[in-house]
Amino acid sequence: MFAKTNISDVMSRAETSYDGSRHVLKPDIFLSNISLEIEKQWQVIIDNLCDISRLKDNWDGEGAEVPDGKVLESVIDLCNQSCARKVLPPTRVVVSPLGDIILEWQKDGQYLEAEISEPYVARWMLELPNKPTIHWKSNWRSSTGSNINSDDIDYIAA
Amino acid sequence: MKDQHDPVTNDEYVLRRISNNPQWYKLGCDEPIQRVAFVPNKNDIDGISVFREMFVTARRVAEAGENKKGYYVARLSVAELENLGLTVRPDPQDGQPPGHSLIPQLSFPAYENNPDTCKEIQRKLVKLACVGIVYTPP
Repeated sequence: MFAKTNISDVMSRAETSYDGSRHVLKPDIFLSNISLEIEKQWQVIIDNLCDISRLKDNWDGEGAEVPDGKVLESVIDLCNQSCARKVLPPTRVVVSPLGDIILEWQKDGQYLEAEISEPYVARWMLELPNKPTIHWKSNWRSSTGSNINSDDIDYIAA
Repeated sequence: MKDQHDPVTNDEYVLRRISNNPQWYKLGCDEPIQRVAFVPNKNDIDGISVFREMFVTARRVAEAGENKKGYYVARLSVAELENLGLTVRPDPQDGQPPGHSLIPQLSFPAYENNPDTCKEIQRKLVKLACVGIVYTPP
């Protein structure tokens, strides 16, 4: 639900992106505007990450740490890959006092976050109404293929 | 009249500073506060800080913080904290506003040793804090 674009959600946003005018669009035009809307929202997230990259130690006056540069690079890489795949953009991105990066999605009482504290590894937390919270860990491949993650190691070992 | 060192009772309220860092409080979200507002830093060995409302105002708590961007302040019921399995321990400190206290279950060591449990508690605190903002930065 979160990992793939929710088409009706994007559709409503795409409509409003037309200054409120709702006209029938040819499918190819409509899709291109969905893409633009998603790209725009991912760009905001990447801009926020660039702002985070400029933080200095003790950026909150209370001893907060800055994120590791390689962690930031990997998150930006994830954002670019997700944008290309039309994944629903996060609601926001934040940095924690420990320097971890958190991508957060909120929708209709549902909550999903990816906490990244080491390059190319995300710790996920998903809350759905009236269900136990679940946690899991996953990793992703660098778009340049330069990292070898545990999935790759498993594959190589097999 | 209670003393700052007296045990905290469940008819009290405590105040928690929420740094006005980018995106930590985002207007327009169903839940504007992000759970990082309750993540300890490495100096929070004994717990995260709160202030007993009976000893201090939200404004004073906010103005005593070191963050140049200022703070939101959330008001939390001690009874509701207890329902989450949390305790509030008095910890008066020179150089801090009156009523300084700690929530030991959210110390840095606790977060390091049991991150998933702490994250779930932080999420519940977010829900309480979102309806209890009593001070916003100027």
